[in-house]
Amino acid sequence: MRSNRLSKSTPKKPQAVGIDLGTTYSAIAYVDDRDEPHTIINSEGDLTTPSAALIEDDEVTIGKLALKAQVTLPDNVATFAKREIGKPVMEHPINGRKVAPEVIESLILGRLKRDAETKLGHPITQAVITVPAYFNEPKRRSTIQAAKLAGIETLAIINEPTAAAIAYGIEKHSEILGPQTVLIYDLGGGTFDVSMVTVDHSDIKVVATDGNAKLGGIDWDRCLMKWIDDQFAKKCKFRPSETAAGEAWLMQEATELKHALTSRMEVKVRLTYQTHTLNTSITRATFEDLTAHLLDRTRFTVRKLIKEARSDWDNIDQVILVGGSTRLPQVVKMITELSGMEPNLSISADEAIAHGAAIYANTIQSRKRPQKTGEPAGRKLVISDVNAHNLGVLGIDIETELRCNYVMIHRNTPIPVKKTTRFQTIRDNQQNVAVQVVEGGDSRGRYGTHIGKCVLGKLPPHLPAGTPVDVTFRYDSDGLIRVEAKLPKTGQKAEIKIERNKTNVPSEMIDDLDPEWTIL
Amino acid sequence: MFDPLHKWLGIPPSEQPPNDYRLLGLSNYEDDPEVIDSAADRDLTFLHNLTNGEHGDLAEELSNRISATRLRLLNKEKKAAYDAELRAQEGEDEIDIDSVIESLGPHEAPGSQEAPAQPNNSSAPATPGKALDVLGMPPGVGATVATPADPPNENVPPPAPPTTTTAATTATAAKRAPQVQSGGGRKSARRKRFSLIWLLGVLPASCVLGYLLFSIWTGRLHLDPNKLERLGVPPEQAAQFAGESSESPDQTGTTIASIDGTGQPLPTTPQPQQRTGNRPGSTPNANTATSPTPSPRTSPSPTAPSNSTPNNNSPNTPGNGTTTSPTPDSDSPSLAEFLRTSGKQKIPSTESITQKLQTVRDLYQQDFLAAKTREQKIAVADQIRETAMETQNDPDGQFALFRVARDIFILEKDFTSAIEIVDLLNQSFEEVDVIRLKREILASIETPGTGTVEYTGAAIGLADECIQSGRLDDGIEVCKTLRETVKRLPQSHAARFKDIEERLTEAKTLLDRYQQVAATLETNPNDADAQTAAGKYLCLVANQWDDGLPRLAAGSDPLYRQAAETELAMNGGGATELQVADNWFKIFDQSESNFEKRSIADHSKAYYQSARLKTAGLESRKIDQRLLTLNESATPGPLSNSRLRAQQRAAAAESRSDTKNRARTAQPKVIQTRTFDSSSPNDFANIRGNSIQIGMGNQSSGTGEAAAGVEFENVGTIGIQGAASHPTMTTASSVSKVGFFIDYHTPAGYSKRVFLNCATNTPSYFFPSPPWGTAKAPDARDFLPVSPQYTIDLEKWAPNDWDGRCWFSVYMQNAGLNRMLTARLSWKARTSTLDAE
Repeated sequence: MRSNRLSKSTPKKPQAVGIDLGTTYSAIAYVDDRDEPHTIINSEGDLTTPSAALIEDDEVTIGKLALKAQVTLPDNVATFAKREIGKPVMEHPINGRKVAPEVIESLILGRLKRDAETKLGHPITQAVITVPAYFNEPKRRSTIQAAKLAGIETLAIINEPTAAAIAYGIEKHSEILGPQTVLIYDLGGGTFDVSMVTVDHSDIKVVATDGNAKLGGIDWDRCLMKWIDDQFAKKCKFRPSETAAGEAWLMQEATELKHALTSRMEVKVRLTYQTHTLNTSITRATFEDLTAHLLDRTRFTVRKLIKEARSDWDNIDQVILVGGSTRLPQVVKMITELSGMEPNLSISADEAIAHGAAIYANTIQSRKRPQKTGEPAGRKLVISDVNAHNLGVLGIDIETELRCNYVMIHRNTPIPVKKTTRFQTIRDNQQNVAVQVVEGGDSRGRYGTHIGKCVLGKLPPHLPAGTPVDVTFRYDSDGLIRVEAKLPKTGQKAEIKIERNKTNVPSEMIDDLDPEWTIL
Repeated sequence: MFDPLHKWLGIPPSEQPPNDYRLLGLSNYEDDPEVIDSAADRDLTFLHNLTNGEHGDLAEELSNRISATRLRLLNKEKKAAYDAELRAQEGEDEIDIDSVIESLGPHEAPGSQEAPAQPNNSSAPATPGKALDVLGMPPGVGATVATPADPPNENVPPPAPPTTTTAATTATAAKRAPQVQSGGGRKSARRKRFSLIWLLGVLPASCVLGYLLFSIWTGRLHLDPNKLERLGVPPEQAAQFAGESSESPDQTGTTIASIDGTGQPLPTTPQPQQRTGNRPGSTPNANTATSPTPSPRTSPSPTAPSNSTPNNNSPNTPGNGTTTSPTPDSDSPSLAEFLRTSGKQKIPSTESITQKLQTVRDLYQQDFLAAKTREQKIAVADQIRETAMETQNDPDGQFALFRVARDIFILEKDFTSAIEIVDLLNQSFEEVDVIRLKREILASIETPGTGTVEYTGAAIGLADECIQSGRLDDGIEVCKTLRETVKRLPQSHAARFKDIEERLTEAKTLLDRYQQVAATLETNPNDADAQTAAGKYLCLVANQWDDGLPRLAAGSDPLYRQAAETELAMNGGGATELQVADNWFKIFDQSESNFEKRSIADHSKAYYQSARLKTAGLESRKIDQRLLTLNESATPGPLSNSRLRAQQRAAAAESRSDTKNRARTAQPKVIQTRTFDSSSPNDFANIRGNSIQIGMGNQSSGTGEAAAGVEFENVGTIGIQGAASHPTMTTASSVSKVGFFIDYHTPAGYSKRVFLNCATNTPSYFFPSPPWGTAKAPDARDFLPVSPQYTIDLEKWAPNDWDGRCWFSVYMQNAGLNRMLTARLSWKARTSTLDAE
């Protein structure tokens, strides 16, 4: 019915939206004619849609129903795909088939798109999608791919804390406050980010960012899930986790229990699974004890960020909490203790990121749209971000003759950035130079993300060893990386070929590679 | 298979699984928290870069494990339990190695020479453990005793309890060597068994025994010496066990804190010194009074130095005598320790307090137990406090009620209310040691959490109070507590805290010098340098000018001598107030010490202000200029009081009228903004730019609530250009409100709220809204005529100790259907330098 109504209505201009593609819940927002962002309510009447997909033969269901079906059809439901994005396939087969995480993500994006089209009454073709600041290159690429599969052109990929900063800057930050340095603490369902940002209304400048791509509310749930399972084992001599649908059931109960413990100091637990009934209670203190190590990791990351930004708490004006998991009282307590100030809870934990993305999408569209005479200028949004990971190339250190990871662009460098470094060939008559690009990892380039190889081939014959090779890195605002290489000695511009790996290259394989240049 | 422990942390498979210390690369039982923390940070930093790589999941898992390890080792109790377990395991490992050696034959074993001792040990394998259990000795001592060949060695760290069982089990195991070798299952079972014995038997018993000993030692537990004597304990030891040490608590440097009637332990802190010079020794609670050293105020003689030094107690003072004899009050409630007789209400007897505590418990226990949340518990405490204030005719009951309320506040970390209770006690009872009680309250707060600003303000206020009352060590301790408790001082208090610390340091230096010269003055009262040092301390620190001036007049410092001589001469009509003020001003002008400057400034100002009333013409102009200079000398002096501050404020306000003197103006600052509206979807409040918009929508009842506030610093005047949507903004006269709230911040936090009514009605019911600033019903109300614009001078309603910080809120409640108020704010800085402190 809805699609019929849509098709019959007068076609309207396409509108760009902002999408917060979350690990557990997703949201989509748009900006109205008065430049106010609004979250689009989904067909179930909710502001957020569970990021879960139920796949049955030819039918796909996204959202609340899929989440509910976890207990009855555990093998048919895909959840937390965002955690696995960047990998070739999901860890667990869905409906007996191996499915790529970006496919699941595309299904979720498709549902959000349809809901938005129904509500707004015109097609949605473009979007700004948010990703965790700590997402690496393959994960960003896969997110773009997922959007493409859903029929959405990605106007930009922006970092979630940056989006939250935009929402804060535009919606909450008052001009009378003047420029403020804020710390965005974003603890979502599956990821954690922290960014230090200077906000002056629409002028957003990220100073430093850090995070954990695999730390979020579901980890808190898993601790509770284990606790429930242990309680069953202790009191009923039975473990639900050992049954087919037990894990999914435990996870649902753990999530509900977590929500209850967020608002109450003690919760009575009465659960029946199959024929076993558990009667017990849990206090918030116990819950906090069970999950203290997770909170400690976010504390560590925040401290690390402050240290690396060469700043201190005196320079932070506000701490802004974003993400559903910041509702946990222990988070507020920890931040208060760590920073010595009460965190700012004024922006909606669930909607801020989508709002920020929508505002950014609207700004991009405004720039592209030709300005009519007399029309007031659109919102001027100035954003400056940083890269979250070291970006380097693998080479041979002349002094030690050991393979090393030469960092071209250090983490927390403002982007866009362009940097050129001179290398040299390692042997006579070298035919080509292959530049291995690595993100993160240790000093030898191991255990990081090998995001691609740029091959400078067809070099002129008889080049002596030590011939200079200039490697240029460009890190663009959209978080994507371009690598160029050229031979300055001959002036010859060699063909540049970038091979992006869809997945990570195991470190064990790197030892077999032969880096053919050294660092000058 | 990738092995992250080996590849990343260098722990080879042979050492896996690693214990917590090995995991962090530390030596076993490392107990330096900083070392543990740094080790965890180092590993986490390394792993952090790998979490996105191909073994990201493993890096995440290992990071979680390291975080959990860090938390375990940084928690004293958990670490102790873990260490005990680890020691047990190590002990078990040692047993097995020895057993294997034994199984190879006694002649081949390197330690075979000690073999004859083993049968003795094996004769009663479980005895050592049990004996230790009863005696509460460190288990390791038992192990040493069990092997007579080993001389006792105090330098050896206390061996773990399992080692105790080691000696016993080794021999047993030696006899059954083949069985020991038969497999790991038995070893594991035995390990579990011994761990169980340790966990169920030795550890709890040791803990209980240790706690009992500690309680006796600290005075929490009092045993009946008569019964102890009947049990065969010598009288002296019985007295000691009973907590009736022949030494006073001060001499041992230990604070006695008893368990109060409600069972809540009170915080223990080092006992601050108290004045005893004016303390009658015959009061029922005399034994609880502490330091015998007289204060400089009560005993200005340099030969008896200040009470603020912890090591200047004299054993020959009367106060000490009172502490030596045990009295029935030895187990008096903790508050009674700090009370001494003078005026006001008499201190209730211990028995009476105990009895009343039972009554309080009967009255409120059910309410307290029913209260689940912090807010509910605090509400119960509030109720108890209110009852206490109403219970004027029953001092004993009032005392008990106050104490229970205070303890609940402490328990729930509502330190502001707990501190208030101390003040209330001081109002009602004799000579309450306010500073000490407040210090204990502050020290009892581990983390002030969201109340950091208030906590800091209260601590700084207390430190100031300490300086004013000459209790410098207490002040230093307060600053130390503040630093330890609050990781990050609120910016608004940082400068004030630094100032307090500097003043304390300088005052302490003067005190130290005063104590050094005490002996000199005993032998040579004419030593001019010593007289100067003593005089400076008495005047500048102890605020005992009458005692200090003669010493300064006999001193070696020519400026001080002249000023003191002039002041002394003034009393006989030999000098005028202006001359006295001028002489002190000369010292002020030349001094480089902030502390000295401020103390002198206060003293000099008092004379200038007095002289100003009697002077006219050019002299009065000079006085005004000097007063301005003295006011500008930074924060008020250490000995200033609210009266002086008010006078300074008046002087500063006077100078404000002179545009030439408006040079020093603190920068105004907006700290934050907040909005608030009721849960009704029709109410709204927002701040955009400098504009505030609040209102309530289509609600037929015309009810609703909205507020928007801005927190300012150093703002003196606020301009409001506003517009109301309707000429009438009321529904019911008593509950409709449209106007402005001002919340004033003082060193004790936000303390005063004023409501400026802009509507035509007179509201009579107020609620604790808006929920910022003081977040309470207004303390004062005023009317503003209906006008499109207002200029509000914040000084008008400000408390004397307003520090320049305030919330200014636009507020509307129950104003009618579709009512809206818009206001555009502008502001100007405070112009008084004193105000900008």
